[in-house]
Amino acid sequence: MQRRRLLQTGITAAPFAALGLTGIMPARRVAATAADSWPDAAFHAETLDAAMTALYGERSAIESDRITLTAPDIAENGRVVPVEIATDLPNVRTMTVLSDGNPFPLLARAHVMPAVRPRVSIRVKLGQSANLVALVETDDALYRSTRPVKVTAGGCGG
Amino acid sequence: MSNDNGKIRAKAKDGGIAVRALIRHPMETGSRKQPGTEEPIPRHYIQELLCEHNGDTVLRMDWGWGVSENPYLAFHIQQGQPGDAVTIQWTDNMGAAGQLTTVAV
Repeated sequence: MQRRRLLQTGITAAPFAALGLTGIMPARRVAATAADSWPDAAFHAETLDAAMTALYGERSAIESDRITLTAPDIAENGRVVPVEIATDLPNVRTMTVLSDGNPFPLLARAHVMPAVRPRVSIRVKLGQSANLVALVETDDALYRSTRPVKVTAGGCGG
Repeated sequence: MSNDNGKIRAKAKDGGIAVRALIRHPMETGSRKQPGTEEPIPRHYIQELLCEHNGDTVLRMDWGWGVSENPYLAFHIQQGQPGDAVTIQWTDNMGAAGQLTTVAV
């Protein structure tokens, strides 16, 4: 519990924040909502659709060319594949990257505050050639972009 | 700045701050076995990260075990200048926490 508290922040401070916890926390680190904490079910989901549903419910994602998903066309080492998601969509809340070829498709989700550019780079493991999927959630809608990556040496297991 | 937890660089750029970090962490998937003994290696990965600029949260991330070993993270703070404090802190699924702090140059 200590650990959670440390990382919880006030981005969704408004609606449910109180929940009886504000009294024991500094104002800035307000309790996060359930949808806002580490998404256990989504990370354990074994299909792309299940992971997306666990994160964003039944909302359908609109294909968007305003998301730039950067990754190598061919990754020689699936254990270290550089991925960058960027977008010029306004009012971005979260950006998520998944792979349809991994045993557990959800790789990472970013909660982006207005103080940073909606552009995040990480490195991920890809078990096999797959489609990388980027999801961008704005105040209004959910958008997606897809990019195939060919992997010549997988990044899972042995 | 560099320590046992990894490395972080924050550089003033375009009126903001470009942050790059390399965090030291095994990011074990849980599907690997110890060579020789075939003992499964337990899943061990960073779950939550919190990035702060002068004490304000600017980016929060949820990670799974699909993020690479010794993870890399780069992002750009919109407005900032040399001297500003940048911190990345994280917790993993085994309850361990780590932190990298630097001052923008």
